[in-house]
Amino acid sequence: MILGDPPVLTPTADPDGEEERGTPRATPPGRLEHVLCVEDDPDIRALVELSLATVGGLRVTSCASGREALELFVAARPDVVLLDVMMPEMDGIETFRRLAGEDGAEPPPVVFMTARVQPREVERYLALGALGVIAKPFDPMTLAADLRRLCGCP
Amino acid sequence: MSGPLESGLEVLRARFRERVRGDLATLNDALDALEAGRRTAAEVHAEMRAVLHRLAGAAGSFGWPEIGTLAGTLEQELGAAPDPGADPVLTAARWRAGIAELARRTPPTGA
Repeated sequence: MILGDPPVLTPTADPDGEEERGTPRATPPGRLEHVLCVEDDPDIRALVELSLATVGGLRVTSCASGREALELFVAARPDVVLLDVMMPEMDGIETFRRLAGEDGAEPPPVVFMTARVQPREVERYLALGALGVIAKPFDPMTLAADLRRLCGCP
Repeated sequence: MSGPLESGLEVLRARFRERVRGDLATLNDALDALEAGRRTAAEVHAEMRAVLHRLAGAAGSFGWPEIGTLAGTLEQELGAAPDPGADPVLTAARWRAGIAELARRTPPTGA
């Protein structure tokens, strides 16, 4: 299941009173060759790698934590970050905030992948500026196509 | 389905199936500890929710949506804070029924 498409969803509410209102969405990169997968579950990580590489023909860099993601985002320069939400130490939300950096910077090209997809939760991810959300469980056969769509690729 | 994908999926499915068995053992061990008074209901609930959340998010992607759905239901039921006055034996018995159902739905080796 893919959430966040059509690509524009105006934030209307902040469930926790924490997020900025009106944060712009990240600009879809318009190309997709290289994905940074951030996922603490090794089985899911392996399945994402297999799916994106074999079905989608994409290059995949993976890591198991938000902290590693901060380094790899700079070093590997992926087109998009596929980011788990529930992770120990630094969760996906905090990872997103740190990737975004200073106020005013354009949000990083992030697609959240999570089982937490209640409407309030999805709205929160989109209000941060994420490109979209892919719900777990995902279909390995369509994951690459879903990601391409959220990245604005034909 | 392409050959490399299918063969890769088979390897990952087999690995995941073993993990589910390990997760079920972890859940039962946690309930044993609750019954024996070695751990509090809050501790056991927290561990069970983490295990069930992972199962709920992963099982469907490996081709076992029934396991994922049931794990998600159990995770939601565990979402309520445990009653500190509840009998630990009765509490454990309640959750064991759900774990037994998860075990029943887990495909046998080679499936």
